[in-house]
Amino acid sequence: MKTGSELIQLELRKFVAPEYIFGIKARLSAGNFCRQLGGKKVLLVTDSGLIKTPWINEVEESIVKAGCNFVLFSSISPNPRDYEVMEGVDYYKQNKCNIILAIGGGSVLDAAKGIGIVSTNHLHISAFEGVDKIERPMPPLICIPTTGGTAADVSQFAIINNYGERYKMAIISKSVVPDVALIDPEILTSMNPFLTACTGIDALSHAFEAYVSNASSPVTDLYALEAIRLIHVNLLNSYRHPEDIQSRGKIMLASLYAGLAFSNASLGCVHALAHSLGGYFDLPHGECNAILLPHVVDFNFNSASDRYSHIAKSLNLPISGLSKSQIRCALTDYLKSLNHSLGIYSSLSDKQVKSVDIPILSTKAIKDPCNATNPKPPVRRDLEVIYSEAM
Amino acid sequence: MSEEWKKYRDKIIGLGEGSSRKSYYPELQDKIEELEASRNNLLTIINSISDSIFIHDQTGKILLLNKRAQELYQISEEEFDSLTIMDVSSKISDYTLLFNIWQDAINGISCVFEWTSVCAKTLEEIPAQVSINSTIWNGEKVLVAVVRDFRERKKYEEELITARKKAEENDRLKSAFLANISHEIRTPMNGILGFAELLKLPDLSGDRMMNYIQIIETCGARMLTIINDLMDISKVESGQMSVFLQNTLLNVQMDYIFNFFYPEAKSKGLELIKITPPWAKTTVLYTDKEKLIAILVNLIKNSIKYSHQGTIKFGYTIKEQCIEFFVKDTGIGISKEKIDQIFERFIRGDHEVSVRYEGTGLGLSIAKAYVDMLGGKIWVVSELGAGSTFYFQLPSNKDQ
Repeated sequence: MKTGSELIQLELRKFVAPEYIFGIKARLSAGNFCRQLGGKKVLLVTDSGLIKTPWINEVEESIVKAGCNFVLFSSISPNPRDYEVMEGVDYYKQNKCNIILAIGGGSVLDAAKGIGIVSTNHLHISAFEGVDKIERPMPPLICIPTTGGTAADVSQFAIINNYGERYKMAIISKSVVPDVALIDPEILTSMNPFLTACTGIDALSHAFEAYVSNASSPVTDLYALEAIRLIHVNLLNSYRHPEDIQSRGKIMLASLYAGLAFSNASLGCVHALAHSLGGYFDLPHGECNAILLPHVVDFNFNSASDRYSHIAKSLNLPISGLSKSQIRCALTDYLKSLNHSLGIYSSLSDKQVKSVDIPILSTKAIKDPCNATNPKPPVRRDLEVIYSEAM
Repeated sequence: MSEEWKKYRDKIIGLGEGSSRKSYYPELQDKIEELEASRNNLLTIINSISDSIFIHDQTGKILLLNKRAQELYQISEEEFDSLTIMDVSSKISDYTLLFNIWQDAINGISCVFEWTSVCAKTLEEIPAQVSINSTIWNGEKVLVAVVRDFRERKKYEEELITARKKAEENDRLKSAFLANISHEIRTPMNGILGFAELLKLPDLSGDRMMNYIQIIETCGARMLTIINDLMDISKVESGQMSVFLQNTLLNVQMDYIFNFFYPEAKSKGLELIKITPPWAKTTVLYTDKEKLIAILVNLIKNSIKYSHQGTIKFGYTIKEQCIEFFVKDTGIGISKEKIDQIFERFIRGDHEVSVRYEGTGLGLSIAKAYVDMLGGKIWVVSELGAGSTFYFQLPSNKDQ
């Protein structure tokens, strides 16, 4: 633990976050915020799975109560596809919407960001791939996350699947930070255990990568370590007791912390590898992260051993007196056993990945901007090795 | 770390260009300025237009009016929001029609129609052409009425109608005049030719011959009068008639006229009386003597023509600035309908009159034209069946 006398980083930094409301029933203030942001016609973005939950009706009612109109757009698949974004833009324009309210997991929130970007910038979504490519602000965006992990509701990231070329485009810009995030732990009770596990590990990867990022900062560190601690203590319980609202709340909070951390410190190789993998095989993002995280920790460890040791301490791992390589093993073992306790046993080969795919995956992965902040700058060959180890 | 990744890293952590959080403010500010400028332009245009513009809701309540409307209908900016379109419409307006027009306009069918508006203060009626369209005002469908002041146009229309009537009347009178004048010329001409033919008879007595020659002379004189009248009026009309002013001893002229008409009056059994102020025997008027005589001759000739008994009095009185002449008869008089037109060319009282009495109808218009030329005025007081009195005044210009 820090004593307060260590040297801190004084490099120029900036911290960006939306206005966020955290707590039970936060979702019900959606209509109020629509009105406050000048909304007249709301594009309500969600997916077909969520339409069956009570959340959508409640949110619709609050929109109407606030005196706004809305149209519903729900043609979004997991790992949202570029053409789905473009369809959403057409729908937005046809219905003369002027504000976007997204309620869903990372896929829905990212698709909503994509719709927002294109609706004011009038180019295909692929034109915005990369960092700071968005010139005009998108319409006001309100996000209600339904999973405890993605943190797209607070981040400056939007990941859209380039369906033709089978990879995930990372769109990174302060322009895609939503205006308002309504973070409601109650909503998490509708997640099944597998989704709870995957999104929990996603949040954990966010915190890990943000903490060891070469762009980390004292502010992001604070959030990253607290997120790791909360997940460590509560994820298993939340997985085993889906109705435990305290556990759900803590995971939701952890997801928010991890989001604030990674949005401002960025990520690393786990996400670079997962974007390529998930895009190519259309796999759940959280599961990809869960499989890859231990191997990336292994790869990075020597470049950020102090930071990883801090993490190990936060996880209450018994590391005093251990050598660096012993700590590395302790950490990777912890991650693997956490996966197992959450029912994630898979390796990449279980996901039908063949060794011949690895060069393709790593060629795509090395182009991902997330590599830029990995503590150890990778080359393509490094990524191939990590994929191979995860087979 | 490669340079490219270093660049990425810096951008992601928000230190590069364009890395600010999204902000609508610059664009909104531009839009607000644009809107303000365009609103000002619009207001300038609206207030520069010479038509009145009202924006009002579907009940007629006025929401905005331009400068021209404020001036024309005398409505100040403070009071217009308590007024409706009905306050600037004539009391006898058909409001059902108006509401139908408004409803159509709201449904996208614009309309142009004529309407009698009134000034809110003076209640002066202002005929207007109104063009109605619908627009949006504070989120509500309302109406824009562009109101064109038609007062001038109505005036021109009325003048045109009067002028047309007058032209038609003139045309009719000219035809009647032509028919009349042909008759007037033919009658003495027939006399001349007829009696000239009779003069050729071999055994014509001296008395008869003298009688015929006298008739021919009378007819010739009558024709000359007609021709002189025609020439005079045409000279007056073409502006070729000139005025020759000189000192004129009025009583000398009165005597001359009395002597001139005495035989004719007597032969018709009428008494001719000359009335001049006894104390003004040497009254001198600086005027055109010939025209003065012509005026009096025309008036007395008419009096004799239209009187069958009684007296014809003529003369003058001295007023402060002028001499007032009069010719009073006990003749057939002039009807009320005709009295205003009696000095116009070719008018000769009623149709019946023109059939019964010879004449061209130019006498009075020549008299009036001469009075006008001499700077005076002429009028008549008359009662049908009781007689007429013609008056005219000529300025007594003492600077001779």
